[in-house]
Order: sequence, then structure tokens, then C-alpha cells
Amino acid sequence: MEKKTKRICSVCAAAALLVLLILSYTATGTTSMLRSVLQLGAIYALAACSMNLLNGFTGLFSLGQAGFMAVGAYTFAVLTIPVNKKANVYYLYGVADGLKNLALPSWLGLIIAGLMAAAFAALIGAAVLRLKSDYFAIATLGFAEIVRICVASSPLARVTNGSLGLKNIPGFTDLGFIPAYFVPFIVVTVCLVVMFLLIDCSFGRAFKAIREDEIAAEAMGINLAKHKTLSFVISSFFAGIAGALLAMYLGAVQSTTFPLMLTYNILLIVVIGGMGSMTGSIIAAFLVIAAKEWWLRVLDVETYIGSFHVPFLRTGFRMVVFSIVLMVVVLFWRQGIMGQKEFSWDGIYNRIKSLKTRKKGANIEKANAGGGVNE
Amino acid sequence: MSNQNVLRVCDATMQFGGVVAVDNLNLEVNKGEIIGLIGPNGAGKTTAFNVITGVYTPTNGAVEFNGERVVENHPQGKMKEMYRGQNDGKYKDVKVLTPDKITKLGVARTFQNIRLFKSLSVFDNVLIAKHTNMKAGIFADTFRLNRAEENRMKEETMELLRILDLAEHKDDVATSLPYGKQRHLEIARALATNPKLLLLDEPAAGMNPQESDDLMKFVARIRDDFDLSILMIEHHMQVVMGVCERIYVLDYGALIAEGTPFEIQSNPKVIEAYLGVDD
Repeated sequence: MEKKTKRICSVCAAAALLVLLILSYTATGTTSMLRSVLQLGAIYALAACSMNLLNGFTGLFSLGQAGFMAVGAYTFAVLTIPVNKKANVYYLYGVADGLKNLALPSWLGLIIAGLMAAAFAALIGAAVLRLKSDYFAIATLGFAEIVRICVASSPLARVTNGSLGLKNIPGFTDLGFIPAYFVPFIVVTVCLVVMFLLIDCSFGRAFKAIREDEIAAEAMGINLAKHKTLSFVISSFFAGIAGALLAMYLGAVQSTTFPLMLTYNILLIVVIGGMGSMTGSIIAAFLVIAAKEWWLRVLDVETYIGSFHVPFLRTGFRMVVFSIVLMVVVLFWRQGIMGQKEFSWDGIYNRIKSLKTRKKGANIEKANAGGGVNE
Repeated sequence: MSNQNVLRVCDATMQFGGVVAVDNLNLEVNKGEIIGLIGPNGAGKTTAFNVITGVYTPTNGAVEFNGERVVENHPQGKMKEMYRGQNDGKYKDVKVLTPDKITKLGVARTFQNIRLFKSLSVFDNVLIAKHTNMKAGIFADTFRLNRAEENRMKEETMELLRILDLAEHKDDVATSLPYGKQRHLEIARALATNPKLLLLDEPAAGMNPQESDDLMKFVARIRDDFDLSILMIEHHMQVVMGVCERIYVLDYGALIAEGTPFEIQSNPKVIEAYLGVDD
């Protein structure tokens, strides 16, 4: 395929996506399921991609995602809750003196949330990145739990409000002429573009080399400690931003917003999308969120067909079906949706071509078979 | 040929627990030479490579590259009592560069059991090695502020693939190549780091006589084309004898002979180590 046709295709696809997104806004009401699924899907897509950068591209199996998201979310919440609502939020423990008159604009809060998560990653990275495979996973898992327990602990109560959590977090607001609905998509798109640029540059290739073979990568002059730290810090930066976006979306955070299950949910998205494929993670994020929060909801409602009571259908049943679907995916479709490949027009072109030739082959076979009968 | 050392291994001893894998190895590679390192299985050849490239820290001894000390160590801690090698006390410093730093200085290697970046393309395998000498930082690189450098890296990679007859396979996955080509690719990848010294670990392993003969011609060619010095481990005696200027023979970790291929062939110690002798 030529470069020009590819570019035209890309522009068309981007325009189509944009039109669909605008349609999802204009054609639905504020309480629409589609709207919230798309927004949440975008936030999870960012979280999944940041996890994929570490787990799928650098080969470092981390389970600390929820911890870094919690750091981002709490940092954002603490810094941006409006001054006049602070008394209401911190009604039990009071607010720390330094924070009393502090309320940063959302964009600054987002950046600081990312930087804070990155700083935590740099801090613990020096220690945990010496560990290999399972041990690294366990150490990062421990970190996530420590964060969750620390934010709910009493010494930090005047900052994080203990187990009561923080509320009145500013949500998405209109950005000039752009309605608030589009803000998370813009932030996520910017972050994803940066990540795509990163995985496609020389440093991204070095990350992949570490995933493929650490010893060979080091022998080829790649400084393992430096590159692993870079990957860990960058991944955490975006995880922090995803956490902050989640805080904006929910409007309130507690330590229980970031349980171990959150990490596993994101890991599932990464696995379903394909470890080592950003586009896979994005597609899987929307699919999983839509299935979990929306499409499978029908299974949660007790249903009668005529006088027949459909068995099993009751609150929580969708999670059973969801889990079974996941098991099937992992058993029979281990590569995930995209494997290690990224979306490309060449890929689609080749797929269509191979389908055509297969059809042609089938036709020829059919013709031959027909000929056989005639004879 | 000038008499300038590219590589000097001084009294290197590598002891794992009570086992002395490399015992007091002294070895020199001069500029432009092709040197063979041979010995029976388990003689410590690959361990010697790992000491030179910084994968292992020697228990005692030093390694110099272009006159610069890149590795130096002496028995410490628990090893102090366990040490069974020689020259204890001769080396005082502790300096061990990590493999990537040694590669940056100009020592590249291949592996005995091929270690390619398996699921990446042939082109990417070589391009990744170019990352070693990249100047731009991660920020400039991500936001494409170093287009010129990136393009130069890609051109040089393509050039290398052309020289090594891999250009037609450039988009293939590394592991889909036939075995001989994979060995070529490993050498291409090592060359991409702009080395001055190339360490080849059994480059002809698993090849038939014809293929290994071609490989040796190829090794001689890249030595001239890339202005290299080469140190190689090899089992095929014919091959080593054909291409190497000097040969070192290891047995049970210790050097038992060194000299020209002709001298080695008639050395009774070498014959004993390889074939055994009747009592």
C-alpha cells in the first residue's frame, strides 16, 4: 500500500471516529449509558496502555497499577477540591494547614498527579527493579496495597481524609467551545499519542529488546537499569493521569476505589487486547467496559418469559458470565485480539487480500468439484 | 601489523564456589588479529568470554580494553578464604563495568546459543543495536526532534543488512530465518554497535563443513571491511586452523598452550587434552 493511500485512510478513519464520538454526544442524553461507557472506556484504555507499556513492551510484569492510579487520583483530589467545599469534605478530621487555601486548576492537577505517580515509581523502582519476574510482580503488588492502606490511615487523615475518602472533586468542565463530555477523550488521546510515539522510537525498541532477551539486550549496549526505570516511571506517569481522570469521572475517591481487583481488571484488558499491542489494549478497554457495565446488565434482571421464570438471572449473574467469557478468551485465544501487532492499514489490506484469495481458492475447488460431477 | 593491544586479559581467575572455571588466564589480542580460543567441552571458554564482557565479575584479575582497565577484582569477603587461584594480592582495585558499558567502549559479542530478539523483525534486531551509540535523549527521541539521527541509524542498518546478505529478509521475523542466517544476523547485530573487538562464541556450531568454510571466509572479510580484531571460540579444528593467526588452548580453565596453528597442531599437551593418551 502506498504512503498516500495510507494517509488518506488514516484521515478518513480519524474523521469517522470523531463524527461517531460527536454523534454519541448529540444523540444521547446526559444519563445515557453510552456516554458513561465511552468515557470510562477511554480512561481504562489509558490505564491499560500504561500497564501494557511496562508489562507487554518492557516485559516487566507489574501488579502495582492500582497503587499508581491511587497516587494520581488522590494527588489530584487533594490539590483541586474547591476551597469553599473543603470544610464540608474534611468535616471530621479537619484539613491540613497547607491545603486550606489551595485549589489548583484541573489541568495543573492532572500533570502534578502524573508527576507524583512517576516520582513514586522512581523511588520504589530503584529497589524493586532489581527483582526479576514473579518477585517483581509481588513487590509491586505490595506497593499497591501499601498505598491503599496508607491513604486510609489516620496519620494522613488531614490530607487524604482517612477512610471517608474525598468528594467534591471537580469533574470535567467545558473547555472553551468544547463541551465537558469531550475533555477526557482529549486528555486520553494526547497521552496515547505520546505513548505511540514512544514505542515507535529507538527507546521503545530498546524496551522491546529487554522484553525479548535481557542478556542479549545488555550485550548490545542497552543499559538495563536505566531503561527499566524509564519504562517504569513513564508507565506510572500515565497511570497517575488515568487515576486522576477516574477521580474526575467519579467525583469522589476512597481507598476502596483502588483495590487489587482494579489492577486485575486492567490486566485482563491488557491480556484480552494482547500483551504488547497498544491498539489491542484500547479496543479491549472499550469492549470490556461496555460488556461489564452495559451489555451484560440484562443478565442481572430477573426475567419472566410468559410465566416461565428464566433460571439464574439475578443481581451479580453478569459477573459470572463475564468471568466465563474471560476464561474462554484466555484458554482459546491466548494471543488476545491483536497479539503483539499494532493496527496498520497494511495489516488490514493483507487480511482482506488473503480472504479474497481464500474465497477464490474455494470457488476454484467448487468449480472443480462441479466439473467432477459433470464428467 | 602494529603491536598495539586491543584486549589484554591479565591473570583472570573465575571461581564459582569451589570450582575454578577459569584459572589464571592471560590473553592478548592485537589490532587486526583473528585469535582462536579452543579447548574441550567445559574448559571455560564461554566463562572467559563472560568475564571479558562484564557478565561475570572475575574472582581475581583484570581485563584491559585499548589500554583502559574495564574490569578488575580481587578475592573479597567469603571468597578470601575459599580462593584457590593464583596471584592473590596482585590486584587491589574493584572495578566492574556492566556489559552495556563495555559494549559502548567497543566490545561486541555473539552467543553460543543464538540469542536474537525473537519476535522482532530482522531489521529491528539490527536497528536496536544502533541504540547504543544514540545521542538523543528519550524526550527528543519520542517527539521526533532527532529525525536526522534516526534516519542515519536506519540507513546504516540497511547498509549492514546489505553487506551481510540479509537485505531481502529485512521484514521477516528473526526466528523464521534458517539457522545459518540467524548466525549471520547475530554478527550483523554485533557489528551495528560499531565495535573494535568482536567476540564470536562458536559461530560455526551446527554448520556443515561447507557452511563453516564460508563462515570463516566471511569472518576474515568483515575483519578487513570493519577494521576489527576478532576473538573467537570454535570447536571445529579445521576452521580455527584455517583462519586464526594465533590460538589459545584452554583445558580445565587453565591455558595449556598458545601459538600459531602449526605449533598448536603438534603440541603434545593439546593432543592429550583433545584425544586423551594411553597410560
